[in-house]
Amino acid sequence: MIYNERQKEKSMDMREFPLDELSRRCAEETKNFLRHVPHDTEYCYELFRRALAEKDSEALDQIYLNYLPQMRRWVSNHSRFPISGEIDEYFAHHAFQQFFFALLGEKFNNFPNLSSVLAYLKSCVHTTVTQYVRDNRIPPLLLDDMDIPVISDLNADIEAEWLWKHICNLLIDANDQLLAQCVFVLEMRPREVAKQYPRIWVDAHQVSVRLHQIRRTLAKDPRLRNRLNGDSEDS
Amino acid sequence: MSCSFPPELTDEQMMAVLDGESSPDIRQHLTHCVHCRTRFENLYQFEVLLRHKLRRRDCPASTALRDYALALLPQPERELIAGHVDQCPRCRAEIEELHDFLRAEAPVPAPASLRAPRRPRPNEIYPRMYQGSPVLAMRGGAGSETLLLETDGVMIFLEAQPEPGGATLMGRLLAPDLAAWSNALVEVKQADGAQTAGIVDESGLFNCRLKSTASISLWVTSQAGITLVIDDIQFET
Repeated sequence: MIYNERQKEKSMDMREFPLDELSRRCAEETKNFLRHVPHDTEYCYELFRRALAEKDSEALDQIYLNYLPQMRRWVSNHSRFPISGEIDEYFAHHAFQQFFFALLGEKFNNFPNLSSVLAYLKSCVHTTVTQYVRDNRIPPLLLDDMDIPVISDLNADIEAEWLWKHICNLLIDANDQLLAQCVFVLEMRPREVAKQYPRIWVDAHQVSVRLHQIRRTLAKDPRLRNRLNGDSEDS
Repeated sequence: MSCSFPPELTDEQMMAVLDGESSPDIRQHLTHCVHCRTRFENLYQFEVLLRHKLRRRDCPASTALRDYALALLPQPERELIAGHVDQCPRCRAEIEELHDFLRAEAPVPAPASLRAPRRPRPNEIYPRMYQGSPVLAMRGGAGSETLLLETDGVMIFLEAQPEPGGATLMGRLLAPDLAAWSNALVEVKQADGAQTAGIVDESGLFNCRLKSTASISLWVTSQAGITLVIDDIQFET
């Protein structure tokens, strides 16, 4: 209780701190943190509070200055960054934009301390890289010198909905629909499917046999072939 | 044309390649036999297009999965995503990766120097210099210079006000729906790589401190995620 009162008093004092002094102390405490010596998180937290809860442009500038390099290091350290083909700065900017709008104004109150703020900042780096890789995944080239098909993403959501409905019409059996979902939507391999649904398919071979049948059915359908080749007149 | 190494590969053998479960001799066959390779490429093309169009069509966005994993979602939405995650190995893996990433503290080298973006990105628009701009001393005092840019009804005035040790970049957005740009995030990159940020206020005004006015780039991002990008701004003062 006494501790809480002291903390509250300290927070009140900190709100009176000049911005330059606050930034200086935040930078010092960050260095202490990186050196693994005792450090005080309140200065940096107050800087974030002013920048985001109070929408103080100069405090935001200090946050940007202090944390953008760290965000770029997080991007470089993300396991999916190397396959994205993008630059670290691009993801750091997008992650910062995401973070800024998620915590601006009253929403900042959902984050009671520096560690929750920084965890969210870091999680924005993760989602920015992950979503990018999800949206722009380059199909694996299974053999040398293969050409990647030209793919249009115009009206992608509508297209996906039409395709899926059409596939469900072609595959009457519910298990076939489930298998198509596993393979074409979730990109699971036969052994993963068998592991997830052992009551339906006993092993990967059984999955493969059924999957071959499904592929033949789909490939034979002229409407599906036309649609995949970009002809949408039968929508 | 016929198979160079009969018997020709069956559809099943080729589909095993698509599933990543083929033997090396099948792949060897496909590499050297034009006949079988042509058949395989037809299968591959159909498969890639289908997967591309359908990939994770009903998975929540990464941001929603993140907020779910960090327990930041309200109850109804949380339950909805929990139901999906329970059935979806890809989303479960993505959440697991997030937790691993948050735990990881491995030091990494400082980022390499900045490189130019490879291509225009979605949701980015590029305002153009308004006819006749730069407009000298349009609203500033002596020594200031105002640039005027516009795109799709949004006008941007930029002014560099020299001051000791650098300059202040002052900007004003004018748009039919100004509220959409209130609280927009302003980011500035300077010629030496230094970066600075600010916030657009309710009147469309913003300012940022600059070390110098030589060749700066500016991004203004609205809450709706639209970014105005102005590259290589040159003030003469």
